[in-house]
Amino acid sequence: MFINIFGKRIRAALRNWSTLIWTWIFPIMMATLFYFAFSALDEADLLTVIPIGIVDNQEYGEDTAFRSALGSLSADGDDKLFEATIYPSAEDAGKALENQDIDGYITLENAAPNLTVSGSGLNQTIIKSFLDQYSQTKHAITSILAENPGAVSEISELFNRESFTKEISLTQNPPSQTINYFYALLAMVCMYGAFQGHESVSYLQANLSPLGARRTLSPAKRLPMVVYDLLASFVVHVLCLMMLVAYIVLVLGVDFGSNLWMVILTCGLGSLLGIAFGALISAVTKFKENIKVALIITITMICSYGAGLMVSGINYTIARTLPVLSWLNPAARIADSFYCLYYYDNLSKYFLNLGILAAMTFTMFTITAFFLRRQRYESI
Amino acid sequence: MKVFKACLLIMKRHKGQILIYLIIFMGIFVVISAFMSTKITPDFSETKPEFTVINRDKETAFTEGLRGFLSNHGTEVILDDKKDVLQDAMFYHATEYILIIPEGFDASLATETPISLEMAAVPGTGDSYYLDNLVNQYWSFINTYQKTGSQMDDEVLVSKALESLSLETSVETMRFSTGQPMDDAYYAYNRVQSYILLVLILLCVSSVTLSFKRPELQMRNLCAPTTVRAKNFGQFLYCGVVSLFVWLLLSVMGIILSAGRLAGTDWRLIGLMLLNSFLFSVTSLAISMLVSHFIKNPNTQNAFANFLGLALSFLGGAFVPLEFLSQSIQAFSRFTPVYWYSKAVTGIYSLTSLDRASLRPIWQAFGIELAFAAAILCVSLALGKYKSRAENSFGSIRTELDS
Amino acid sequence: MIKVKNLVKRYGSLVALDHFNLEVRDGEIFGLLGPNGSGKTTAINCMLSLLKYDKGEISLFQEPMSPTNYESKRKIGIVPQNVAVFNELTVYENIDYFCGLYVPEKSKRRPLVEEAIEFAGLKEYRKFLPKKLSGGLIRRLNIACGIAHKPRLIFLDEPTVAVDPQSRNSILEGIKALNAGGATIVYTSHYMEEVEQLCSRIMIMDKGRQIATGTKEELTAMINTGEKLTVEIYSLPLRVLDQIRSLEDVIKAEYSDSHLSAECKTGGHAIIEVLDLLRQNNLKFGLIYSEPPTLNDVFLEITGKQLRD
Repeated sequence: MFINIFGKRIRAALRNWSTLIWTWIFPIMMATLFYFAFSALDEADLLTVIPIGIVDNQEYGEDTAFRSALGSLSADGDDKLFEATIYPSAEDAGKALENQDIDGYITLENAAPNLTVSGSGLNQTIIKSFLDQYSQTKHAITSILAENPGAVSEISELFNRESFTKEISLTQNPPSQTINYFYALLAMVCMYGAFQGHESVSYLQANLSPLGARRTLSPAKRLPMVVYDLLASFVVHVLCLMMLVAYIVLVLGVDFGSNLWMVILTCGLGSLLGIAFGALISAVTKFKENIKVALIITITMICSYGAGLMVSGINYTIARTLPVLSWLNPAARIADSFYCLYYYDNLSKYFLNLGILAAMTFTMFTITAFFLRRQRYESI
Repeated sequence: MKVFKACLLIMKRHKGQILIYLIIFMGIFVVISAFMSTKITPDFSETKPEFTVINRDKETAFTEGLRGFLSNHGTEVILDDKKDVLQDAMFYHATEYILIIPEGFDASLATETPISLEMAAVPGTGDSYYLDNLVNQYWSFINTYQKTGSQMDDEVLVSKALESLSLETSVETMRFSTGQPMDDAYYAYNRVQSYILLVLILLCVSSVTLSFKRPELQMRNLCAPTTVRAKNFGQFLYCGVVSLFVWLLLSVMGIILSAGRLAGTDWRLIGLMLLNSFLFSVTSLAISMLVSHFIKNPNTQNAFANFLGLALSFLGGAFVPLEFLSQSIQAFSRFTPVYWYSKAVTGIYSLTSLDRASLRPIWQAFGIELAFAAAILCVSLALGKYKSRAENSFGSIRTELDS
Repeated sequence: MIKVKNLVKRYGSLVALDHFNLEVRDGEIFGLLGPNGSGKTTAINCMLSLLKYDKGEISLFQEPMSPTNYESKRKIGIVPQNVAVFNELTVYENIDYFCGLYVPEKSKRRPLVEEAIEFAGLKEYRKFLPKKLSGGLIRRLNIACGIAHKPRLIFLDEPTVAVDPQSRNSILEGIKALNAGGATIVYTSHYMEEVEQLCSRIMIMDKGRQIATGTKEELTAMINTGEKLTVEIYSLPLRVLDQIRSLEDVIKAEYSDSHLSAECKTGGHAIIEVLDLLRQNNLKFGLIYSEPPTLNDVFLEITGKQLRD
């Protein structure tokens, strides 16, 4: 009995092309697109050498202090901050600015540097900050020397860029802007288990399909039939997730932290939740088949959105402002579990997530079971 | 005309599906525009990255001064001193730079070997460089004043340091374009629009060809006493009209959704944007007609539309700007139409003048979009001709002994 | 085998079954005949405990039927009106699956499945997916899935809807064979010819009520209409037609297209009287034939409407 129901359900699921396309191929395609589209996302924040221009005038020629300050930051090496080009006139520099060859140009006038830019941005802010520091230091030296003319030796420290900070790392793995997209994608696929759950239940219920009626009339006991069928759904869906995880980890090289067994555990629990969700929708609501599918997709999409599938970081915003909503969102819990595995060294929050997922799954299965117990209907 | 009308009727039955896509698209756009700050002032303003100061030592005049100084150049985000809170905030870029003042820091300042401040940031980012630089600047001022200023009060010392540190460079902003820059949200709308244009036109076109392709129906149509030319004309007319309609709908929607923020933008730029999306709808139409040949049933219809739409849009820079794509992907994307559409959108967005030289790359992108349309249309027509030969068109009819 | 007493089933305000009574005896082919919407499928679903009903008693195999009466279920085979098979499983796998719900042991099951495939004439198609099968074949698969476990009681709910005549005949032959093998069969249809041909006893239903029950002969005997007489005749004066109409044994007479047709009372001597009358009037006539009454006539006379809608 077990082999018959279980085996045939697996075969049927593996031949159902439209479900396979959406749960197997579509996520793999999305993962690939994420991989290509976000490959340079983390690098976009990195500091690059900023192209600047300097207008060559008499004052610039005479101000050696400024030239040496600028020179130290535009010399080739690891600390190189500026790529400085000298323009003979302000017009030439303006032209370069218009062509976006430089982010801004500096003019020394009346003993103070002036900055000309064409827009706002971090690069422009950094140029300004450099000039600010130069003026500030100059001002400080003047005021200190005015009060305490003997302090010349200490003043050199102002120029001696001693670092007061040391970098520490909060975690083993560095933050990444792209990784959460993959986690949210996995959460979405977990919830897509709902398709399998829905199919199992609608093929079991006499009021949902002729096939269900036929099976209800067989002498096979109800509970084992339901359990075997759902178990097959589960196995198929976990297989699907394993494929996707393998693809993301092995082919795309996305980091899931060191504990792959925990990742598989999360996938398993996530699929179980998805199947329970689909079974619930199928058993409890009285809509037509395509409305049920639409409902499953819509809820999955809303949950995945909340888990950061479309806009990374939205999950964090929701968790900070509406924590209850975030805790109740299964997709967010699944994605957060992966995140905990990757990012935290302490697994307590991970297990809290799993606990919540297990509780949700249990609740949904219980409600479904209550509805599935009924085998006689008012109408078919 | 009969065929055209039948096409419209079939479309009417599918309007629910189209509506769902439109609503989803509007939702996405509203979210995107909510995340976008519109810059109204054309003058330079400093970028103020988020930072967090965690003080494990006592509050002193120095730390007070530091907070004040940093707040002038950044945005302070207050977080609890818990490891996971700090980790989360760092991961999701709620803060770019966390400065931890360790216990005993103040006491060690006066000694020969002061304790270092601890800082955490995503390594190598511009924001963290900038903020770290500011922190060092502040403490080196404090340090120098401490060593040179004889027996000053801490408060006085801080105020003196801050006096120096408040000195700012004057910044002049050069404007090259005549009007106001184009609204960021409208720009984003136009970029993402390529996805929805493609998907909607593909669905509209394929829904109709799908119903016409049913073997029984095709047989009936072929037996009817209208010429093939008239029937094809009806279908073509429908495809053209529906594409035009989708384009108009999306264009109007875009202008309405960003209505308040488009005032003052040069209308010629908006005109160029509209022309661009129009040309792309022609390309989408050609793609749809080609793809319709391969769509066999309603299940694969949606899959096809989304796979193709998402793949082309991702690779073409509709969702993620082209400059974030790696060089090899960009090289590949050049052979897809969405790339040129996005290129034109970005080009129009950053136009500083409307002279010939600046417009040239935009005309070029337009031309390539049209070339794509023409090429794909030719392939589609050739394929259509091949497929409509009688022996191929009824291949899918089932028979009793068919395998 | 089946006893149904005073069964009442309502869908909201619509009464689907109105004090419905039924008895099916061991070994017979029992036909439920009625137009679409007359309550045939509802009656079957109630008997199978798929539907809740408002009133009445149902017993199968001398036992009350319930959803958990697995012993009874094991002996029942059903062929639902709509095709109920897995689209993703092949012909063999489908039959094996459903048979497996009744017969768990694989070794016992295999010959049963083979037999069912043979029976339904699906031998060449055992590896086919249902969507590749034609309308007739898929109906046969639907039947094979219901009978593979050799049930003692088989419900066939309109198994021949949308089936070509050839397949229909083979299905009907198959049903007879099943019956000959000892199975009791409940058969619903709105094709009276099938029911006439196949069933040993027939119940005619309309609007959720039984109208008449009995063998075909018993049913036709219930009504006034006897045989139908048709005479080929080239001209018939209105006077003679009126004389024919006034005959005691003739219920109704019409003349059109050179054919005189008359409905006659059962047990009368209408043929002789009509022919005598024609001869007396020196009218020449050609072909004469008479037909016995059909179930359609029974239905028509009792309900006042045609069986086929």
